[in-house]
Amino acid sequence: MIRSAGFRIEPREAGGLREEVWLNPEDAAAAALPLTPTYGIWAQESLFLGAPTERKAVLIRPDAATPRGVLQANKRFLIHAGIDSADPMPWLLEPTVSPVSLRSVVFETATELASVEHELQRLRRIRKEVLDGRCLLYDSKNERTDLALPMEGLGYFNLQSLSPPPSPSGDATVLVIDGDTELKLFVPHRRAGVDMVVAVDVSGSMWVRDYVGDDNRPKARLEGAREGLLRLFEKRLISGSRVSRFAVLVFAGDSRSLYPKADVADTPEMAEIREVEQLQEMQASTRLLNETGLKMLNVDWDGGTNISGVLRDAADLLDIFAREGNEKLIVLLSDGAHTTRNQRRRGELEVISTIEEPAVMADTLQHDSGVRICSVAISNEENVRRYAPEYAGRPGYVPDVNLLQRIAQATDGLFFDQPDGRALSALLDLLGQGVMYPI
Amino acid sequence: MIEAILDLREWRETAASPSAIGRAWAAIQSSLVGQLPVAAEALEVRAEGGIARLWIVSTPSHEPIADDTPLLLLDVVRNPRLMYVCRDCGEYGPLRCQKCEDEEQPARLCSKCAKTILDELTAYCSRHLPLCECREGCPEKANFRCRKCRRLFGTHQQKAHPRDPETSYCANCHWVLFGRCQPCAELRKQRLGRSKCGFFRRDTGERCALPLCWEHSQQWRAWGQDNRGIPLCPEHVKALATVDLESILLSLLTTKPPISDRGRPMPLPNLFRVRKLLKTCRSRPESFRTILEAVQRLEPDIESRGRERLSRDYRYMRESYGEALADLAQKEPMFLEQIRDYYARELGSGYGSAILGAEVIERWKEKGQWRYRVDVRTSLTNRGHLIGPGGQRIKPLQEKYGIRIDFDGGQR
Repeated sequence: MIRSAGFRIEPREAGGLREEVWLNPEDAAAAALPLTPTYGIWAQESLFLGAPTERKAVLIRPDAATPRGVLQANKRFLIHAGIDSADPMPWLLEPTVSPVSLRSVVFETATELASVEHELQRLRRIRKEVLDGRCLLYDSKNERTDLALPMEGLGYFNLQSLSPPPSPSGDATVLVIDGDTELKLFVPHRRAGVDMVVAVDVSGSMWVRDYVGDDNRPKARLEGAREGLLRLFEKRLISGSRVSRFAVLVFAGDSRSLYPKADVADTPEMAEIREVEQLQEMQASTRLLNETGLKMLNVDWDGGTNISGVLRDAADLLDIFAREGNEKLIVLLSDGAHTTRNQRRRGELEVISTIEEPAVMADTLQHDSGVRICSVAISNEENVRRYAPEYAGRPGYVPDVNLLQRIAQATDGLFFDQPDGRALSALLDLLGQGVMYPI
Repeated sequence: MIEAILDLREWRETAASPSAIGRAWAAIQSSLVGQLPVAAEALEVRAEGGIARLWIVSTPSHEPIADDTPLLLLDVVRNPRLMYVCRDCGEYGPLRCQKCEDEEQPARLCSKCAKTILDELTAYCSRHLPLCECREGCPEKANFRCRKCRRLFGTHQQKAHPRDPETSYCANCHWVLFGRCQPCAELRKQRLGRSKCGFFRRDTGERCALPLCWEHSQQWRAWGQDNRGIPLCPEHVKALATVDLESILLSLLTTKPPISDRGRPMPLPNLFRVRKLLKTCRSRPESFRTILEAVQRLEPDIESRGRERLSRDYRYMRESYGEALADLAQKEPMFLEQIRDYYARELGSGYGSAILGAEVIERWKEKGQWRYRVDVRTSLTNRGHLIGPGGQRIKPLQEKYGIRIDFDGGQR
């Protein structure tokens, strides 16, 4: 053990911030310290009356270049620890019996989603320099969540989890990050939300009764879409969600805003999700998914199914209302039967309007606006054959699951076959978590 | 025993350590002798080090302090020691200029003297505050980071998100994100022009980049039916028919390709696909040789740009097109000969000599082998004999030589 009496502290320029001190081997021998680098605990009286002793983990390095009677300490460590080398409070330094080498550490830090890639590249580049060989003190009297590693110029990295977990009993443990420690960075999604537009197909084909829900009875596809929508509201838009702005469009040949209610000029908007009461409004809006309601919304459900058109309208909304850094997501609930009044034979021309082909449109939206589309197929060909054979083979009524799949694929989105509870839950769970990146 | 509190707030030396307090006490204690202590009042001592006061908490007698009067100091009141002092104004300096520190210069700054970038935590001194990155040599100091491109810019570049005034973009990113569709604007409509015309204008050396909404943007489907192609404005869709081939090829080379199912960028369309694409939009058909020559003429244009990826794609295009053309030069006469021989043998020499020419129009790989689609010109008006009932005459020919045959541009 070394005490402050008889020792002078000297800052030593040693690159980056690292918890390390150097002392002459003769001083180390006199204090019965090992002559090899060893981890220890630095304890210093607080400047504040009555405050507990401040303790830090350090690596003690015997070094013949260090003058006798001097304890050299990493300059940046001294600054971070608030140690005044010119006039320090009384301190003592003692080696620790059993430092713990960490197998894996997950850091959590306030990184904006937009700059994650940049931050990760930087961290991977400088890992050896700024993370390997670092140590920190686990004090069983404190909660583990207090553990944080100061990083030069990057604030503090909180330790979300570590392995092996330190023993909750005992006094204090020195935890060591070395070259073999597996390091990960957890970026919670709550820092960047999702702005979501749900597009619900209400075209003529959605009245075909071949959707089979939880009760195993065939009902109209529109009813399936409504069920899906309600599940979405309940599951995702309640507290704890990261959905930030939200809108529901219904579409056939044209699209209309179901939620939030469009203004007098019929201009759709997105609602910012702030209160739980909004959930009731959203649920109430689904009552309009019937003949009368759609008439009130001025939807012409016999005007074809313009999937490209609704994707364009949804993307327009996201481009204007989405917050920078948020994920832009369109959830398409449809049977995929894309019919517009002016159809052209596929492949007729090599130059087409972008909006003409839904899959091309989706690919373009992803490229131009970074939109992801998750598509949910309401019904499929087999259901038509089984429950509504009178529509089998009728163009515009047979679901085009391939199209919905292609749309999702083109935008790195997810595709779901029928909106049963499990499938939708899986989709929604994927939206709620953070992402772990190896460093 | 007199109980007292020592007040060193007007003492010049900061009494932050036991030794400093000891020094202050040594300097004032002799001046206290002879002073009358009164509870709840202070005895003031003016010394070289400043003013010290001794607040009397309790005193057992009303006699002046003597040399041997026992005193118990309950506490020492002192000014907080300013550990971090702003190097510019001497006030509390909690911030540090990282660059100054790297240069081993005094780096401490107060919040007034430190310069920061909007929404960022890094502090700079006025000398090290980064410059605007809008162009090389812009003298303006940066004050925000564009939320899209993440580069630093000065106020003259700052444009707010239309719905979120706290989010700033540089002028270029703002135009990319919120530029209005030009054809819509002409119709007095307001729509964002997220799509940008990808036609490469050789006169400006840049892409046209006219902002277009998705209704007004058209796609030249260079990468197939279901994939994003080259976005074009109405003017450049028309221009495809007559503009020089080099501009079209440059547009192809400078457009970001769509991503394939395997998650990789799709390769450039091959020579055959390019010719097919051109056939549907050019006023006259282009031969393979004309296309290759146009590719070769691009070389100085490409090299002068010094863009590695563009040069790599260009080299791939030139080499693969050259190889395809060389292959055709060898294969076309061979196919002509084989087809003539076949029909002469099957139907008689008259049919053999009715085969006037054979042109490869498509080439693809099947199980590692090249396969060809060949357009065969004939002098016959009725090609039914050549095909046979149910294709029974043409099929063995196709299978034998690994080719698919069209007659006279697909006519039957």
